[in-house]
Amino acid sequence: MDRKITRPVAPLLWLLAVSCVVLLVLPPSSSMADTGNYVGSETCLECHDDIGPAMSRTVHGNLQAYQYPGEATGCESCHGPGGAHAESEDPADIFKPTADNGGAEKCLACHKTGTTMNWGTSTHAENDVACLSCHQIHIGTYGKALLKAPQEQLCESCHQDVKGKFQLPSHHPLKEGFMTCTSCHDVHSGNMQGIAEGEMVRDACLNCHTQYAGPFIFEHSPVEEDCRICHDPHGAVANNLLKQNEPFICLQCHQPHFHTILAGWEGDYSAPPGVVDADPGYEGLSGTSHYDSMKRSMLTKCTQCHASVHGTDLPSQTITGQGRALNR
Amino acid sequence: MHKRILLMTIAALLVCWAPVGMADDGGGFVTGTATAGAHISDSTDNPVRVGEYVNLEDFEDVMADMVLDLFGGTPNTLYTVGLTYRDNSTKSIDFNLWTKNYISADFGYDSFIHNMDHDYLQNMQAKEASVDADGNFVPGGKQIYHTDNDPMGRYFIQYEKFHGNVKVDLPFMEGGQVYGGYGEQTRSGFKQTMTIDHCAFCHVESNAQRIDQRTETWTAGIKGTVGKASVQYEYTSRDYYDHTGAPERRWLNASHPVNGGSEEEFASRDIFEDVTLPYGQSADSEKDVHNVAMKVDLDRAGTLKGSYTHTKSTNDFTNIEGKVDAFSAGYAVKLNPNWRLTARFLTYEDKVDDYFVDLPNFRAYDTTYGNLDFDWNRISAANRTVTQGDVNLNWKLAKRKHLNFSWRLQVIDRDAMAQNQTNYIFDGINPGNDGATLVPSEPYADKTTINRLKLRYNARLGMKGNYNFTYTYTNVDKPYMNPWAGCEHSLQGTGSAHTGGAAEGRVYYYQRQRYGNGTNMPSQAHQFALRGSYQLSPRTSISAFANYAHDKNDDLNVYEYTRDMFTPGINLWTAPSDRLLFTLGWDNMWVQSNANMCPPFFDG
Repeated sequence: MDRKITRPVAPLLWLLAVSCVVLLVLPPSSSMADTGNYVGSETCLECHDDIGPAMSRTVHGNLQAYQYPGEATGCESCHGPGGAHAESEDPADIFKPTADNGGAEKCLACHKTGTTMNWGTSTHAENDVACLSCHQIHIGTYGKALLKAPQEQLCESCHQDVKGKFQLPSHHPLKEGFMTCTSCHDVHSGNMQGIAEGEMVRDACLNCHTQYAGPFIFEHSPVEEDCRICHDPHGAVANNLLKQNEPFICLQCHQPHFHTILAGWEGDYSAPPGVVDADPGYEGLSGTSHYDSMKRSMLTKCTQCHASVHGTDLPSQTITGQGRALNR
Repeated sequence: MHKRILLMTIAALLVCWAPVGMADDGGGFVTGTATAGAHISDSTDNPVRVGEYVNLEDFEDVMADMVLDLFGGTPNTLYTVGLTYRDNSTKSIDFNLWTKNYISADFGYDSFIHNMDHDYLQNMQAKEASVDADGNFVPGGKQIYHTDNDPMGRYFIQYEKFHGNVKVDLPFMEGGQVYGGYGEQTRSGFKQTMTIDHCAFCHVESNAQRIDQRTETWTAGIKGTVGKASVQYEYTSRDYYDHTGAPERRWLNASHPVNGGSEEEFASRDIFEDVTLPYGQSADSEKDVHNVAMKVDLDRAGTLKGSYTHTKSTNDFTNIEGKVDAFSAGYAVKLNPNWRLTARFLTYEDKVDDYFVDLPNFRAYDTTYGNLDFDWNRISAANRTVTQGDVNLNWKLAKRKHLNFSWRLQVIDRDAMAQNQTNYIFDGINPGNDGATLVPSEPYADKTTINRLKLRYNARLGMKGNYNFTYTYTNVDKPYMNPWAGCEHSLQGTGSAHTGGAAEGRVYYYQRQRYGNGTNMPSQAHQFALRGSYQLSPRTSISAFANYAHDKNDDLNVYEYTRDMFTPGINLWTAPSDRLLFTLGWDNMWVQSNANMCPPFFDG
């Protein structure tokens, strides 16, 4: 119990304590003086008065001097020195970051750490997606991350095939609004799989489905390999996001149960001699069977018996099965 | 209790904060959107399949839908508030705060229901046919039956998630920040849990299992930039608790279903019998992650990054531990105005403790044909060393036209892709066990090598549209598979008869002499993807895509696996006014794959 309290809290408290000391010791931030051809945001807003009010309602419009990486502040921290442009009023005399002209470099001048640390080597950057493809700088419509539109709409505008999968009967609750794409994906990641740095694909799943984390004694090896061997996380026709219905998904790696080949009795039957089918544990021992009843029992849904298909610490019953049939 | 405290704190903040913003005449503001609506869900079939996330208690009722989004600020703060309410089990609340005084924070809570199927097990009812001494068909000994102890049960998981994060800037350091966070996910409700007793007959029993699981995640980190180097360290601790304990059932007295109900013979085949035991247990676990990352900006020489991650996972029930050590590196550079190069490298080693499974001897009473030792050492399928790297070249052919080429190489070196079953071969060498020689459980540890080539052309049609085409070819040497999926070796030439006499028991072991590979992983894959969108007018746009994939695995030894998938789609958006938007979409998915099926031996 001690571990649960002390271990995670200790580093957190330590870091917070350090930051509090720093805050007390350091003087408050001061404004930066304009130098060179910098003219200051006030000059910009004399003409661009449509941008000013909206910008003042964004984090970018309220940055403190210590948050700028260079001497320039305000509009000129991204657009560069505005002196020449203010003089000529020629759009060519001012840098306007776009997706095509290295706009990302302007963003990354400040956003060097955190999730954007690996943007330079990210899959999105490789494929010509720029910061401005998803974010808008001057208007804080959605407050969070200055997104141009709700996150799902942005992602689906390119990943349309994924959007289609989320309409299938079994899906993660994205369209219901209880998850977002970034619940699993790090859109700024430099990781080859598009998930958090230093993690395997299955770790992204286990963040929420922690009950399957283990490590267990009796494993099902594809669970350790990659959850996507059996599941399509974006959506599937089969239940539980399975890529195919049972038993077909199982039969791709396993042969049917050996009882499948047994012929079924055609007709009614009663409990075997010496057994009363009303005894506890024996209810249901009389009934009706058909020629194909053994096949229907053994070849419909493997997880009716192999229920702990994600792994377990409890041995199954038979010795020859070596406890690893995932029945418990 | 702390959930409620957190909720109340958030609610109090919400109540207090908004008026402060509105009352402030020195630059305070609040803007917002309130949405009110209603929804109804109905179904003529199983509602679970079409209402996976709808509270079934509200099925056929008209339910309110309310959403409130606020965005506001004071001279020193900006904040957002979001509230969603659909019903008592489906709601969310979030609060984000940014201040000029070095601190920013966000808190959130949301909950929803996930409905799950109820399997009535009605297919689990069968009696074997047999032939009596006169050659007549009669009911045989082997049979299957089921008991659903909760036939009216409705199964669902109520998910509740909380998170709270606080960030404090370190103004003496460029981009300096310390941060900490706490997240909690609880899962409550009921699920169907099944297990099987084959003490005499196959008896599948189903019960309602209460769910009361909690995952807690603590995060703390520090980051900043010194000179050209940006550094960050993050520690994450995750603990999982199952507060319910496992359900239990009674495993009956073992007795042979055919051989006159012989208890000794059948009991000696089982690890346990005539005992009450738990099943469906999910072990508490914990995970600690340390991650340190660095990025160096080399100006025109590009950007270099690297990271190290150490992860330790522990199963609190068994104390089995798993450790992962991962190193990654990346480099990106603009070679000239038209060429950009990205290279990435990752290697990690995953090692989970071995576990020795100590079992009673099989048919220990039978010292002639039995008394066989099935103990085995479980080597985890997670154990592996993975090394992967990729190179990406982006060529700007012309303005708004790019060609991308990438190559990825991944080598997965596993300790045990799979592990076969302990077996006995009847070769007459070991007279103590009727000539049976032990073949111990061995891991299959082939190395998988994946090469992936990708070509992508991306172009924009002025300001009105864009399209891209991607082709990906993947070649996999020894893809993941079950090497012993099916197809037993023939009995022919073994000298064993499979009917009658003492040797009958030997046939049991031929089942596990399977040699046929099985998988749904390809050794070669071709993927084609075409996507385009075009703005028909300032208020109307259309987009379409078509993906085709052909996978095959011709490395398998008994069949060739193939999978073909075609997914086209088209979407139309039109907004007659700023407040009205219509969308119309059509998506289709067609998949065809094959598998091999070898009907197995029956052991008698």
